[in-house]
Amino acid sequence: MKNPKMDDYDFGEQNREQRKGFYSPLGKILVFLILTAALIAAAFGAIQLIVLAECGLSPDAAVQDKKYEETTLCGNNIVVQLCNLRSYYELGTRLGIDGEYDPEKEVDLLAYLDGEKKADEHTTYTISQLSEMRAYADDLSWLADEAANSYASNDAGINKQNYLNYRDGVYEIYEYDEGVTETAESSTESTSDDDTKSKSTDAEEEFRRFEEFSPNGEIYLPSDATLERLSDEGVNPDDYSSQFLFLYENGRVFESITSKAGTYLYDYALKNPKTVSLMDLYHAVLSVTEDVVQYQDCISSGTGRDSNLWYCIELKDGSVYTNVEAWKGGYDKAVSETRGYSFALGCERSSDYPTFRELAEVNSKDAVNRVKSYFRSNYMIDKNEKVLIALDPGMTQSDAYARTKEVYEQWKPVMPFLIWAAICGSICFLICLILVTMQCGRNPWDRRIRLYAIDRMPTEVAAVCGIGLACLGLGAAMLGISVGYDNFYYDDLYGGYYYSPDVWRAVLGTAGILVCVYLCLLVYCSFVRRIKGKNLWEKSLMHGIASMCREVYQARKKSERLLLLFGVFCFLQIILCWGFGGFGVMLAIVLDVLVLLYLLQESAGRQTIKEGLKQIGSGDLDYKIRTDTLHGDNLEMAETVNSVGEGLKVAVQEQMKSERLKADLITNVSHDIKTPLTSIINYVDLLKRENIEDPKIKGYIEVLDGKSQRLKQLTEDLVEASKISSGNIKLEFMNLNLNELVQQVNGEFDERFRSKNLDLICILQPEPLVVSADSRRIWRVLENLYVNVYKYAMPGTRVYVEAVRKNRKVCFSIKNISENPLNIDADELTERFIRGDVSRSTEGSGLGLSIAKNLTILQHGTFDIYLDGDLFKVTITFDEVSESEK
Amino acid sequence: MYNILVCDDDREIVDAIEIYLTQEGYQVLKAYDGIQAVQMLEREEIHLLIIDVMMPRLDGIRATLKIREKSSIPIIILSAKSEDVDKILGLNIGADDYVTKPFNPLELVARVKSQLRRYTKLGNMHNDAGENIYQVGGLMVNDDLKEVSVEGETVKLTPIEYNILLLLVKNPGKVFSIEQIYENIWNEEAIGADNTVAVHIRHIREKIEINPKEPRYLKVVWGIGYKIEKQ
Repeated sequence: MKNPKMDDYDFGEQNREQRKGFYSPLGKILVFLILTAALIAAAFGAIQLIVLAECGLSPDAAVQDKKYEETTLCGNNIVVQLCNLRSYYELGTRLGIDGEYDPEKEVDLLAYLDGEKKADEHTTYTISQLSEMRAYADDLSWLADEAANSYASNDAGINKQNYLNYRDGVYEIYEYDEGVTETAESSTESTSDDDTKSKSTDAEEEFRRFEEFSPNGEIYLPSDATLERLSDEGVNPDDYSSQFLFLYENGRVFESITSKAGTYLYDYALKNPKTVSLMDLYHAVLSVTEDVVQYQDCISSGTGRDSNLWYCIELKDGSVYTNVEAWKGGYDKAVSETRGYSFALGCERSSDYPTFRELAEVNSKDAVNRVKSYFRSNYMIDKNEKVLIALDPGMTQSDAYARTKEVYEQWKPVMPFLIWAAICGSICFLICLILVTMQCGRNPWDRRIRLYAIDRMPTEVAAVCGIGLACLGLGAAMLGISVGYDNFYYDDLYGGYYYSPDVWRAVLGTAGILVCVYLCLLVYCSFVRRIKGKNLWEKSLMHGIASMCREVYQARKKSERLLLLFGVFCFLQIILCWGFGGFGVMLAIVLDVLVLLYLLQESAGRQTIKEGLKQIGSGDLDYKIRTDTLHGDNLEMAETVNSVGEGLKVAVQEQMKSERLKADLITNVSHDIKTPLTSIINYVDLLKRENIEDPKIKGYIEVLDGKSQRLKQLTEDLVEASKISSGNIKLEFMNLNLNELVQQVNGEFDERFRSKNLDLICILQPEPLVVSADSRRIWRVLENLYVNVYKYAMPGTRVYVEAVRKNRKVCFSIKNISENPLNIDADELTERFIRGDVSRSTEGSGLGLSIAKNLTILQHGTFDIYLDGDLFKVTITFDEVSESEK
Repeated sequence: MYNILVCDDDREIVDAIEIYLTQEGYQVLKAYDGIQAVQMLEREEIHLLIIDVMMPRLDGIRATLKIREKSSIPIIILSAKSEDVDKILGLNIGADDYVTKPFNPLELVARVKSQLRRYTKLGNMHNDAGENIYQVGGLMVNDDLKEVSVEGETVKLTPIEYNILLLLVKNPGKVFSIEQIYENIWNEEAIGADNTVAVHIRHIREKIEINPKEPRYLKVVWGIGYKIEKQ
């Protein structure tokens, strides 16, 4: 959750100033302008560089400071023309042209291909005709191929229609005589007519021939128009092969130029079926016309005088080919006149091995090397020749050289700037991009991110729109560049294309790129803002779907969730196994393993919790279950258990504290009571020592003394009773003889009983009765009982004391006759502060029996009071300690 | 003339004790907290100290510890804290006696006398190499003279009582059951249900102990027998 107040807080004046400047609209516009400028520089530079490279001006040429004639570029250009020249001379020789181009030169198709053949008028065309025929030469060649591939060549002499009928199972005979058609069935059903018989014999024979014949291609039936024409010519189509018929019929469509003899090739072949192959002729047409056209191209590409490349080629036999008047004298003469050229190279070749003479004034190493390497692997006309080439220093003609040189001279100085522009522009552009990214969405007043409406659209929608826009932009860029392409190339005299390095292409390209980048930037900024505003995931559709799913999941109870998960799991498995074949099965297995691991982890977590519970249950309240490896339900359980343990610990501590408080209370209170009590007793004693004669005062003193003593007793009893009833006593058990004890106690009370004339009758066992008890406490019990008797027994009566064994228990009982009537229940007597004397006038605090009972019970004994009339009987029992336990 | 320092934060008690002690002929000095007691001890010659536990500034226990660093005069702790643990603590840290409040003034005086006797006659408290002289703390039984004295004061015992006491004193710390004592003294088998021995023991206790209810020498081990406590 964003705290708006926090975001609005601004951190100091200086920061604010900086941020204000940077994020203000002015800042943003500034960055945007710089970005645009950088982009323009980069795009323009890059595109122009590419354009120049296409023209042959590579960037490294710009770095070197050479003249055009020295560059490899120039060398390449020269080599290109040398190739042309070579082709020109080669083709010219083949075509039989010697020297100048003569469009009326006649060429025989077959003789051209095979020098042995004699020229025939029917297959002779002029060069100009041939260049026209080039238009349909491809078609003719294709026809020839088609015929060769598809149609039968061995069915000359076979009646094609009949044969087809035969093949189809419907055999009829057609004859070319007027209107006589006959049908003949198979030989088993022959008619009896003589004429027909002879005819049927023909049919039979034909039939037999058909049976033996198997065509090596399709049978071709010419159309009716062709058939008509053939019959006009007086020719039987059956005498010709399907191939020929096919060629004939289709060749008629294409051929439009007649040979020297005034015929078409197809007619010529028709007339001479045995000697002339129409197929061969058509193939030849293609070859020859291709060469012719190429030859013409060579010519147009500057082999003539209108080229800046001057050459002179002298052959061994002395013939000279040159395009320079002055060099018609031959190689040597030309060489002697070669002076002051920026490019000049002589190549003397004998038996194909060239030697070179560099004749240039200027050091034109790169160009020369290029040309040299060409010469090393190619000869111009002949293996033995002398070639001189030079460039017109003045570049008088406006051919490719001149143009290239122009471009070179024009653009070379500019190129470094272009390179710099491209590089710096790119870097600047990237920096601006980063700045824009930082600026996106921020404003100078606070730290909130400002999101526009488009930023609030769902992410997927925005992404699709963005991609659409980007494509649009890309299209614009492509358009810009291609427009430049299409409009700015020229044919050149070499017969190829060249590109004018006009600035317009770069400009259009840059414009296109600019549009593209702007659109992309829009999309990009939107996404940056989204990311900054943490909107990217939140606003997306997928997030919506995911959170919906999660809500649905949360809302379900545990069992429903399990069902859902299981359903999804099964579904996934089915999809994987069905849809993806072997690979899918593997994925499914991986999925299973993952689920297994998860289950194992859960189980391990439960185990940990069980351990923890056991520990805490056995008393270790400080035990904490480690929660760092647990998840989900297990984690909750563990935390709950830990808190339970905590709770238990606290409760126990509380309990102990309250116990301590109780114990402290008893001791503190008793101490506080005893202190003033001491003073009372002491001073009463002092009073007593004063020997006061006045009986009244003496009486008072007596009373004070008695009561203060009683108070003392009462306090002590109370403390003891509290301690006993709250269990605050530590007992030390040991085995003791009850007989011994009784005797000891009897001895203690002997005098006192005697003073009240109480006759003690004691019945003890001869063998020892051993019990396990705390000696001092059990003495206290008996003491209390005896004191009780001493206080409340009727004087002059007997007191019976007995210790016996009953069923492995030791019983002690004491009986006496009470002086005062007992009007209370036995149970009530042992309650605290209950005394037999309800008026509470005599000595005693009423705690004696209570203390005795509690002490007995604490020592695991039983305490019973039996009242009957004046008989007062107390019985206490303990478990006997057997011989083996002693 | 012995100087006794009484220290308690309760002035009335101090005054009362003063009266008792001066009646007996002792010189009483008074202090009301632990610091005063320690200071007085340094200034005056004190022969015995009666000190309370619950006092401000410096309580009795800590005062005793401090005093015991330098002096070995008898210290009687007088306290309303009557639990065993309190008594054990007091005696362990160096007090010679522990009297609980409320107390019997006569008893307190008797204890004071006893402690003083012991203290002053310290030098004389050696075994006189007599085989027949048995000594347990302040209790001396001279079998040659058939005399019994407790802290110097002679005690008169009947022959039976003497014999019983002698038997116990000869074996300090050992517990004798009634049967054993009977057989030892009368040389007969004990007849059951006879209180004789117990009564005799009681008489002995009355005679030799300052407070028979809290005997110092002759102790009853209830259910088992009697013994003379080793001192």
